[in-house]
Amino acid sequence: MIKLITSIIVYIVLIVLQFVMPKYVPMNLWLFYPNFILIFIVYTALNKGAMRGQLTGFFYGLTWDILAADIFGMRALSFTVAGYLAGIFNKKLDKSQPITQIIVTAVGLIVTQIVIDFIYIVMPLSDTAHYISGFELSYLALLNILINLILAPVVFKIFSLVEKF
Amino acid sequence: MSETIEKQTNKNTNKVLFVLVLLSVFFIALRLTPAVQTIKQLAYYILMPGLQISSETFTKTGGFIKKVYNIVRISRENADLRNEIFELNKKLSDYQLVLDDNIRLKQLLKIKEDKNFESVFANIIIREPSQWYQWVIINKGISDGITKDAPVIAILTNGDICVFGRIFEVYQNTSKVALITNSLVSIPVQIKNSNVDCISDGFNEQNLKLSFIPDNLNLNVGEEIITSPLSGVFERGIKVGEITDIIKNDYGRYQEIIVEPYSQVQSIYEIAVLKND
Repeated sequence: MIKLITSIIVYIVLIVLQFVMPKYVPMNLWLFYPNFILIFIVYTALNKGAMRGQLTGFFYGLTWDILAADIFGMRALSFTVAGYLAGIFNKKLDKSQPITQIIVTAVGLIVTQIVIDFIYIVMPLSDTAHYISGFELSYLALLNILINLILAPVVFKIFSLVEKF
Repeated sequence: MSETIEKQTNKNTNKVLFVLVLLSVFFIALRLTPAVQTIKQLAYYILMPGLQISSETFTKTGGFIKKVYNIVRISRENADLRNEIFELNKKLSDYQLVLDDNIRLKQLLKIKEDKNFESVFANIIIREPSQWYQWVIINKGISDGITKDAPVIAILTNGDICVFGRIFEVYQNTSKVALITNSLVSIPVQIKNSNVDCISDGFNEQNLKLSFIPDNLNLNVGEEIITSPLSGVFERGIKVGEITDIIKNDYGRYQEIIVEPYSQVQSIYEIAVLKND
């Protein structure tokens, strides 16, 4: 019961952090805003295994899809795959090392980006809209990934402190 | 023994992964069907009140701090002035267009400017950084008279108005706005000085792309793009953005133009949805 309540609280906090707080971030700083949800999925997967990772990924991805104006189901799929892949490293790497956290977060971010780009190629967006031209990682997207990687160990630390508490 | 347990766990993990991937693919493939849309809307109605409350709480907390510093009066005055500036700019934009209009052509085309728009001001309550150029959620919905596909404009700090996007999904008290930079949005626009009409496409990034512009047309960086009279959604002449790059195709007959939308050059918290009377 306590676990369920904690999960609900964490869920609400993460959704508010990811979707409500950014509007208070100045325009020129939004790029430095971490993807808390994806880092949390990677954190869960790395600490609890692939099963928890993929379930967390699916659930949070579906929430993201419900709120977004994009292809419905896209984030659910990409976060599920990212959660599963990050979970594979569960027993193979030293989770407490920041470098491990950065590498696994990188795997999660890149996999998510690849799955999203793949869906954009395969699925038509609308009758009039252009197709996104393949696996094009823009300089802004790349910068955002780098910033997320730098911030990942800090966010991991915060999550582990919250978990201990 | 532990190896057998581990193998069983891995098997279960793979089975669950298969089910989750299948579910996701099902949602992606059938996203436009009524059944999936209903599931999405139902989940949205469950999720949204909490987010709306938290957003309003943060906004109210900010408002309280403002009260402490005695700037409520200024804030209200500012809002009133913004509305006034918005209305004046709208009028000014209309007057400018009337002056620019070629009367003879208007008579020939028998254009009747009988469109009368009413606007609903709304606050952005949700915006996600990694999809900054794709969508926002606003605090006005069906109950405020907002309809699907309604045009959305932004009010810049200098009082100018510009195209922001269109209503993508509408719910009882909230609406989802697809920005002009979203790949799902295309709008007819006009290069102001050349009077050339074309389609602006978003591609989920900061800028817009105008394709199929005749190669012999001389354009310059900095030229203004406005909404086209051909637009059935936006009123003509609303500012869209400025040309930032012109890509000439060596072997083709067309050039491609990159436009920086005015709505992406600053933080925007308030927008207006235009209602067609």
